[in-house]
Amino acid sequence: MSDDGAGEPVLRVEGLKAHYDSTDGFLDRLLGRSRRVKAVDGVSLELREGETLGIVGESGCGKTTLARSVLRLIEPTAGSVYHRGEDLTALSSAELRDRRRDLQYVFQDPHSSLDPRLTAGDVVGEPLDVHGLATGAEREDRVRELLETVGLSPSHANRYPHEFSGGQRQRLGIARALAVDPEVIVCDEPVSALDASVQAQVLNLLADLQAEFGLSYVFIAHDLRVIEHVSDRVAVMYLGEFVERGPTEAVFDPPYHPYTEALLSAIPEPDPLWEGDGIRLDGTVPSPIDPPSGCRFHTRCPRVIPDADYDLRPETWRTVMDLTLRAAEADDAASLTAARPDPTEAPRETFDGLVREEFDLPDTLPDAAAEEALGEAIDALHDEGIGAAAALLDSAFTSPCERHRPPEYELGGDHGIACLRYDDGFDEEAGTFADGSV
Amino acid sequence: MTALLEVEDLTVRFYTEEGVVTAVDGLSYRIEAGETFGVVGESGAGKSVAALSVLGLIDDPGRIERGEVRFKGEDLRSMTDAELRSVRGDEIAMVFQDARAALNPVYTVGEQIAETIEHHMGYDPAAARDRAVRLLDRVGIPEAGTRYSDYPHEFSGGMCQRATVAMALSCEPDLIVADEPTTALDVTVEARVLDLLADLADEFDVAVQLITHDLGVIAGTCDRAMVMYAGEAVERAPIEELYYDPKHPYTAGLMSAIPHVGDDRDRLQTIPGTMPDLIDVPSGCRFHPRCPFAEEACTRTDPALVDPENGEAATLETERAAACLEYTEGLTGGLDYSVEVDGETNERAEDDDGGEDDDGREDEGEEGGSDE
Amino acid sequence: MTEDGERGTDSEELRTRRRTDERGRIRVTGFDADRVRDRDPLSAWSERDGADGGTDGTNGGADDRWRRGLRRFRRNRSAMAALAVVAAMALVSLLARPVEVAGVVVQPFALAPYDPTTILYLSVDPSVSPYDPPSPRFPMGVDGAGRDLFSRVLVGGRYSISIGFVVVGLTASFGLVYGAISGYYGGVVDEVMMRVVDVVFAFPGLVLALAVVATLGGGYWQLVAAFSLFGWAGYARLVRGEVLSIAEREYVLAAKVIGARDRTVIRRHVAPNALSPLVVLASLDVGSVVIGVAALGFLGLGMDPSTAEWGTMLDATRETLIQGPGGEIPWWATVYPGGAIFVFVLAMNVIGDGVNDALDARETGVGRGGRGGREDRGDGRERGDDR
Repeated sequence: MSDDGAGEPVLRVEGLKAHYDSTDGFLDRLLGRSRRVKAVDGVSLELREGETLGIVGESGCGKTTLARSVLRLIEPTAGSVYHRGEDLTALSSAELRDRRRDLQYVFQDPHSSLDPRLTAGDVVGEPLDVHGLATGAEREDRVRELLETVGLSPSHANRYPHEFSGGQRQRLGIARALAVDPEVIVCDEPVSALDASVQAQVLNLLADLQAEFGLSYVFIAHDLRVIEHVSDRVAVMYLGEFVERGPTEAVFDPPYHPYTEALLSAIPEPDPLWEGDGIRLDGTVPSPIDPPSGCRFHTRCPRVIPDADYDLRPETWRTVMDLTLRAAEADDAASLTAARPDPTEAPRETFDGLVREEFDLPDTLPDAAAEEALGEAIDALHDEGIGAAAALLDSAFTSPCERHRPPEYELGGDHGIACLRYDDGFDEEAGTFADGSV
Repeated sequence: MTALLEVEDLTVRFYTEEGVVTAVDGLSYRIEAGETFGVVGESGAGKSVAALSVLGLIDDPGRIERGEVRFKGEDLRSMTDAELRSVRGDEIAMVFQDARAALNPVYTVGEQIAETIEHHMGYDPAAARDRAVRLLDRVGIPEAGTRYSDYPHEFSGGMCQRATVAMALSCEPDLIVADEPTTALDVTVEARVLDLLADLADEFDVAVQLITHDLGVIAGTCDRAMVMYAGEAVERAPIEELYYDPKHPYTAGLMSAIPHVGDDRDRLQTIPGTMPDLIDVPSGCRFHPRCPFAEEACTRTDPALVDPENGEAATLETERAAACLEYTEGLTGGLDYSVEVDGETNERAEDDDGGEDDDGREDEGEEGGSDE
Repeated sequence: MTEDGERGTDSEELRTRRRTDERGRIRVTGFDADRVRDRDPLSAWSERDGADGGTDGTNGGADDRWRRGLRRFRRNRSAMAALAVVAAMALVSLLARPVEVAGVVVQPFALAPYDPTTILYLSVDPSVSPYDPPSPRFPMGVDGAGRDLFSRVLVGGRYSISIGFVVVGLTASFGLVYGAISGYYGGVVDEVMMRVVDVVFAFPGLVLALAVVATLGGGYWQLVAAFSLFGWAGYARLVRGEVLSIAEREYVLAAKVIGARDRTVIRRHVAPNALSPLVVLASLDVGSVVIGVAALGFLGLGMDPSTAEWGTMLDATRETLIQGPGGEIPWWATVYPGGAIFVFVLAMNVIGDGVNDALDARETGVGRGGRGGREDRGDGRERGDDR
């Protein structure tokens, strides 16, 4: 590891993958009917001393799996996690247990992450027992001290978790993590179950602890408002990959990855006169069992790059893409229109209208070649069925985003975006890359 | 003219093993036809209980102790169960936080909507099915015809919520009570569901009571809003005034506690402590143990909801109301928080009051007129 | 529609505000939380810290599920009455005859007037004949071999009651360990262990017990073996299911995060939390075992025929049900031992139900349900954002 002046990272993750089996039964597994869920698929990150790295994304993006596989709570499938230069994935389970003194975790749900049978004192004292850090009176003192550190009264040591409010339980979870005096704490949605006023208290507490003990945080949240507030650097995650990464200001200001842009646009602003730019994403995150080819975001991206063969506006192109994608998945022609038992019974013209209405396509596409291809596909859909139409659409309309998996493009200042739009060598007009490939 | 929904002095208690919980205490508000009314507060503030008791859906050990609920001038509390059921189905619909749980897993989504239509609107099965498909399409479910026969578990969380919105709309209600409809959803989905609710409210001219803990959600969608704390309404105002000129310290505290995008504070301002347990609420003003501006008087007198301009007791018609002693007895230290908007500052100084007083009254007058 | 009306009548100041796409414009300053912290409390009211259980005057002291369960159980009158019945029966059977351990009398009381195996007409009173009806001297009459039924019923509890508890103790403990290992490790271990359980379940329990007794012969420990050998399977399956759900809970993961070993995790977190359904099942099971033992005894496969055990006593007088000597049915010979079984099993079942109610999670959650759902939001989020 070269020292580039920024200090050696406390935690360095390289090409981490966490895949797991979603097959249900023993027999299925035996018969090899396995379905691999690629929850985390090649993530690299660095966490520097004393900083907070925010990781944000929708549910189903693999944030929690990432957080857990970094600490080997879920066994990673591939990749390495270096803590102070040592690869955690190579440690034996006994060595790993020792290592847990440096790497801690705070859970999202302060209710389910505390054993209902243990008192607050036991919860906080357990790490001390496990690692033999303190016993007897010393242990008592340490437990008191920890409770005070997180803003609980030491007299609460005899209480059970259910006697605390949500915010207090989360403080208890933080005290448990602090007990072993860790270097790194991975916080998995630590405030998303809390009320606004309590959320602020816990966020402030985390900030205070960071300043006092020099902690480094990996902070996972779905709420960009919280992420922006706590993070020094941010990584935006989509379907098991990072799509954008950089210092907080850089990520929250243009240029954006289209996904980041959409996420930002969706945050409700507590200002009645605020009008957003109204970027809205359709649907939900696709299944990580069989993620989309090329750029994984191309199925929902509002700024997906049009096929260079046609001259279409981005919105129109998006609707054409939607039709293409839906045709590829649909079972019959009826699935491509809103209603009616069998729309193919209708005359060709009416049917054409129905399809266009469902996808908000214009009556005629502005580009003649595109219109011709679309017309052919609708004919095929009407006369031959879904299979033929899907094939036609697929061959006629292909975005470069479908074919190329974008690497991360460096935009300077440690800011990287994985989107073809930021490839200097890519010519959108011609649809070719610097080396002439398409 | 009476408003669509008028709730007056609603008090709901739960008789639990641990004691009597006054979940809602003397709550009054009104919702006009076609408007979107926000109810905001933290968990435990009594928002959901209030909504459920309006619909007569409070079960043991809960009991409505007193108060009136008038819908289109009719008293819901004196209705029989059967009458109430018909109001609930035909005129008031509800959308819940957990949409998946609100759908029956053993029937297809479409069937459930069609059944509601058949039952309440007297459609024949084919027509009901047709209308259900059209509604599903309207709320943005792709391939509505095919999706009609999908089961709830085949829908994503956002689609389930859209389906429950479709079901709520199916009987052309006049009021939809939406209880945290987007809390369990991702922001991207939340934004779309909120857009949808706003569009539909316009299109079908239906009033919406939107219950949420998120001030951001209220700001973008509501015309008027009410802030609740520990079972009471602490402030009621048209939406812009609530944000640009909050009159109750709790509202101000709540606004300062949420992180904003584009806000570079190192620390968030917090409201210290937590919401009191409703078994044992503080004396006087319930917010006083957490309020930086509280004084000795606050521990003695429970402030009523008053017009902050003149200190007169608020009625249902009062647009702008807050429950803080500052507006009746006056606090010696005053409420010295201020709201900055884009650099311009609304000092909450005493001398401003005279000037704004007139505006406030004018508001009411014209508001009343425009509704008739 | 009201939007226009309202926005149009905004005060002058508001009207000049412009619509914007800039975020974070509104900023509240001066709401200073430190003032609350720094000042003396204004009133005597203090935060109860959201405590849900602190209202019992225990002042926030220890109050876990078991204690709450115990309190509930105490309030359940029928369960308490049943408990009293079982305790009385156990006590009476213990005090029925003196108990000697290695020649030393450790329990000198003798509530039963005669030794249960004493044949009255041989050693006590020649005038007594078999099947003498109840009389002040022999309150439950005399059985077919001329023994005092009252004494036999009192002493019989020693076998019937103790065998129930011994068997349940053995099977529940084994089932707990078996199920915990199977559930916690999962995978192939779980597959194999659960298939074994399935095999055990594939046979009717009483028939298996019958086969064992037939092979090993009758006797107290043989009966214990017969019921224990296969009785654990139900517990194993129950515990395994419970452990699977507990292993999913985050506090188990949390224990791993702090570096606890697997066995520590099982011992400290998994097993204790899986215990309450086990206790419920066990308390209901005591009765079934007693019935089973009695059934075997009735079939003549339990204890030695002369033993004073309720089921065996029924067997000894089986033929009298059809026709007694002189055409009269000596009902007392069957009714009293049968009644003892009935009362004991009924009482155990009532206790079992009481334990179930006392430990049932939903029941204990009632108080919290009405509280306006402090947990509501957390749950919603959890569903939405896992993984």
